[in-house]
Amino acid sequence: MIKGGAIEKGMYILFKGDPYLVAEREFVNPGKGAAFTRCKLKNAKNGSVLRETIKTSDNVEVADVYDRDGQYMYSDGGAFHFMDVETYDQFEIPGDVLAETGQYLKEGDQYRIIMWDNNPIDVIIPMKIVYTVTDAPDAIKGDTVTGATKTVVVETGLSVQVPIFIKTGDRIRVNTETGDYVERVND
Amino acid sequence: MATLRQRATLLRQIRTFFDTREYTEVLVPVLTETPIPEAHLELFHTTFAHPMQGSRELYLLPSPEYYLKQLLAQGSGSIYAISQSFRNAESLGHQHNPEFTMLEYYTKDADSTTSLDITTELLRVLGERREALVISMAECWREWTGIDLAATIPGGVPSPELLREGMLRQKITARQHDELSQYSWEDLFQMVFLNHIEPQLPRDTPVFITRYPAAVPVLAQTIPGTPWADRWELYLRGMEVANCFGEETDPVRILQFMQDQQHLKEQLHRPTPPWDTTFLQPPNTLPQCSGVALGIERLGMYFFDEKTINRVISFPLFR
Repeated sequence: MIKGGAIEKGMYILFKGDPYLVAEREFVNPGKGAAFTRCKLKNAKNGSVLRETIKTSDNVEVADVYDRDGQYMYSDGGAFHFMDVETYDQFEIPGDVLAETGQYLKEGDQYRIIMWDNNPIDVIIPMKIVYTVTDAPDAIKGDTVTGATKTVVVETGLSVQVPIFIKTGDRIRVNTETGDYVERVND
Repeated sequence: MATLRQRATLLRQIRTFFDTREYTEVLVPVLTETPIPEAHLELFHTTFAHPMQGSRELYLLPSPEYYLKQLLAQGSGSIYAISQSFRNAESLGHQHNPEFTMLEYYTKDADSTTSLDITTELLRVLGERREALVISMAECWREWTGIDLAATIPGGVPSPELLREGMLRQKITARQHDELSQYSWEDLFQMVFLNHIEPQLPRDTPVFITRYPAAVPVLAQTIPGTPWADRWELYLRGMEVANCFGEETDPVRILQFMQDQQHLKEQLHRPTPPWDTTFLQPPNTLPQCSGVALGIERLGMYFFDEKTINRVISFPLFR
């Protein structure tokens, strides 16, 4: 148990019996009256989002989560399939839970899987990942405006806004929190 | 550096605004034995070590309010102070720094409506071009929750049951009836306000929320024949920037408020520093007046279009 005032972003808490990821949290003290923590909570089982305001003096149960390493295999549209790299056990995570992170997963790569009650509930992905551009339209001739961008598609199907000099086959680094292009990788 | 100059200009404009309207600028101590009695504020505590007579417990001022009220009681007339204020145990979000600058202005022979007019004029002088939205708390609840707030305060008595029923009926909480039953009316009021109303407030115009429930205990007068306090709060771009009362002047009710807050502090295991009652002794009691407390850094964030408080402070405590 922790106090509502100790809730941190990135933490998993139990709310109404389900594990929730604290996606955002903001401390609010109206000055006149008790203080509260305003949270955006994401249900780790089905991805639904809840906004709740919790009194800082309330007891909050921390979800007993642990992690294991899993290799991402494929998505069947409905769920994302992984394999435990030690036991070779295969398991899946519902698509709704990975609505945002799913598009960043690269087949064959290993990720940290968050487990709760023997069930995988979330995947932790690096803040920046390198992808290969699979489809880049040619830059329009004469388009020399500084800062001009175009949309390319990378190996996972993710669309990214990039500078016009990026070509098919280039490797680019992408920020997985914002979906923004960071840089071209030359190695 | 541009922000530094903007901030200097803002402070000069504020001083000129009040000086030309014949408010007297006053200074208050930052180190005090008698901070305001509000139970829910966490104080910074220190000790004065007297070489002969033992030590004295001291606090950094969380608000200049009580010193200004003492001066008003002694006949100062309308006054203002721009003073450093300190709040402990508040998280370091983009709107908080443990030390901040508070502007408080008290207008004699005024109520909160007078203060609203003055504050609107101050915003205009500082560069605001848009007309403010003035909306009562009851209207906010009707608009964004569908709950009739007045109906949860039958006969002026706040009913947690009725508020709880309203929340469940309007489906504005994920919690169950029995989970909600542990909360007081005031807690439920704050939860709904912070979760469902504050985030919905228009951000493209200043918003004054008027007529707070008198059931939230503060030192504002109750508007006769209503469950509402003569109080408003100003929101700029969805951020709470100022709080105003038509001040409670009755020494008996003020003393009662101080005692209630002291009891609450004991329950919360918080330090219970003494309070100052100088301005409660007739004949030098608080005259009819209205006071506004306004956070200068947040005002700066609004007018300089900055998203974090650290951008308007030269030396934030933590970067």
